[in-house]
Amino acid sequence: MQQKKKSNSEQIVQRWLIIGGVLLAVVLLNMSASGELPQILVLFKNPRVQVFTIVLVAILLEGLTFLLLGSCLSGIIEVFVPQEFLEKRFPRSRIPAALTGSVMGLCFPVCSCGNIPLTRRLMKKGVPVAGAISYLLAAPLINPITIISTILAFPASKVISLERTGMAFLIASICGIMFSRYDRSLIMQDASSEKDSCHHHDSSSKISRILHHAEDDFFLTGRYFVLGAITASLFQTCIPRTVLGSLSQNSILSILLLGGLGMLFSLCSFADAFVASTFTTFPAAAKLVFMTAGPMIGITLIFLYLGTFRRKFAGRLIFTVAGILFLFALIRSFLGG
Amino acid sequence: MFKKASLYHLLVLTAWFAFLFTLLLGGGFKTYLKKGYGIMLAGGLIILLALIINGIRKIREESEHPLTCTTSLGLFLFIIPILLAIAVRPSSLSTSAAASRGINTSLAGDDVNVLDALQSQIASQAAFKNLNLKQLLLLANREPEKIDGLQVSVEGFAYRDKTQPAGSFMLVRFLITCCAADATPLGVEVQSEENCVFPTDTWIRVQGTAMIENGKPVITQSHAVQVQKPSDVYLY
Repeated sequence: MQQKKKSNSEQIVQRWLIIGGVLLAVVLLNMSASGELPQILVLFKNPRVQVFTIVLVAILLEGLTFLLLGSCLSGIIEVFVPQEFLEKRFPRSRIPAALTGSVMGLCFPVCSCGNIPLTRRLMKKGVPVAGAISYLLAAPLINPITIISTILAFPASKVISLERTGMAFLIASICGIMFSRYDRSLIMQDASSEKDSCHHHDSSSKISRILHHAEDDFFLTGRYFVLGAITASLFQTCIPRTVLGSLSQNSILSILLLGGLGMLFSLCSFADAFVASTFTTFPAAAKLVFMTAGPMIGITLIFLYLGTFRRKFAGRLIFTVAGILFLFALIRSFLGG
Repeated sequence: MFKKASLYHLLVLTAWFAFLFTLLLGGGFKTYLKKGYGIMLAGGLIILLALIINGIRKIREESEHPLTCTTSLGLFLFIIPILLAIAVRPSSLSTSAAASRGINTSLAGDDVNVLDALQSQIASQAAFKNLNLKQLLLLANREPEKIDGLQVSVEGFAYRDKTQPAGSFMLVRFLITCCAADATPLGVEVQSEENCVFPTDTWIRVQGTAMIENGKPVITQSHAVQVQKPSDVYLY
């Protein structure tokens, strides 16, 4: 049944590629006939195209390096860490597992894109779903570098760093507990194909096997990361930040606005605090949402989740995080700011 | 050979290795990333090289099977940003990005080391104090009395929009934390008796007297000269 589905989607992709290719050829031939082809070069000098290219390449240069690192760590765990080790050492009950996963980022700080292949590997190695999901969400925010960068970005209000960390811890733990009853087969995509490829390379050296797994993870997650980076760059280029100021007075609207912006801009967790500090007219609750939404459910991550996990699970995870984040922001706003 | 996925993986990895290597060697990565992140890129290069070497070995062992359209499309996605960077050849963020992101004319910060270094810089130099925009705005925010009446020399690119009165323009420079995606434009208003003769996006060095007006620093220009775009276009 799955094979039939795959061949159907394969045919659809082929069809659209052919249609797209024919359209592109027609447009280019038409432009060539009317002598307008060199104007494509002028398009490259357009300021927006320049900004889009700079932002896209910047996100990729930073993110792909962490993705490579995360993939290598995932390969190391696959080869060197026996399943029994994690099954014995990691708490099995859902609440302790969720709490442990939430603070693991303090020891294993990895950027939000880098910890996708790592989380996948941890789950395959027997870490309970509660621990893996809470690590996935919390690691980009609960780590020494992010905590310090938040303190530096808000020198007049050091408590905001504590609030950000606390919010991330609570959201990650709650989500870990909520999704703890999910079976791995309902979360992960393509579990069987991974097993086959592992068996094929059993005879290779350990380094070779680590690199094999790292390459697989990199290409599996990397294409979704590129898609997400393209989308984030488009939004960054097309949405001017200057229009935001007029919408900052309403607390609910400002939370929704900065939350949406945090998701669309997909800035790394070390840098978004400094960007948030420039939104001086916005209340603290809205800035907290901006700094938390991006590293947990940014558009780049949404693509990565959809590509790594089953669509239903990914959708539920994203909406659950968004809902809890919005609720916490409302409570924070009600408490003052 | 051409029906092996590992061959195409190898090509993609090699393309990214070449791209990263070129950026690192030529210093072009500073258009996109913070200066100190060169080490991070070097780390990425080492991992890519290891994957490439392993990939060459894998090609011999892998059996042939046709690539699906979806897989081919996924691999092509990796190449699109490289092709775009080569075709567009972006120089740096400019006034278009500054206008869209909104220019910040104040900057909060309590990095005590930076402020201490500024004090000695201001005390030791004669005539015009060589400050960058970050230092100027930081000082104006933390110790405005030290800025008022100070002779300064500041570098940035010229920016002018329709809302600015005649005889004034903004001197702008981008501040980044990690990469160009988080770049925030910093600016200071420059008042001049003559209209700004420099086109927008021109890099200039302005010498003049700094003052605090409505809580924000303003420079009354005594002299301005066009300069070459610095190799480090961003402030950190």
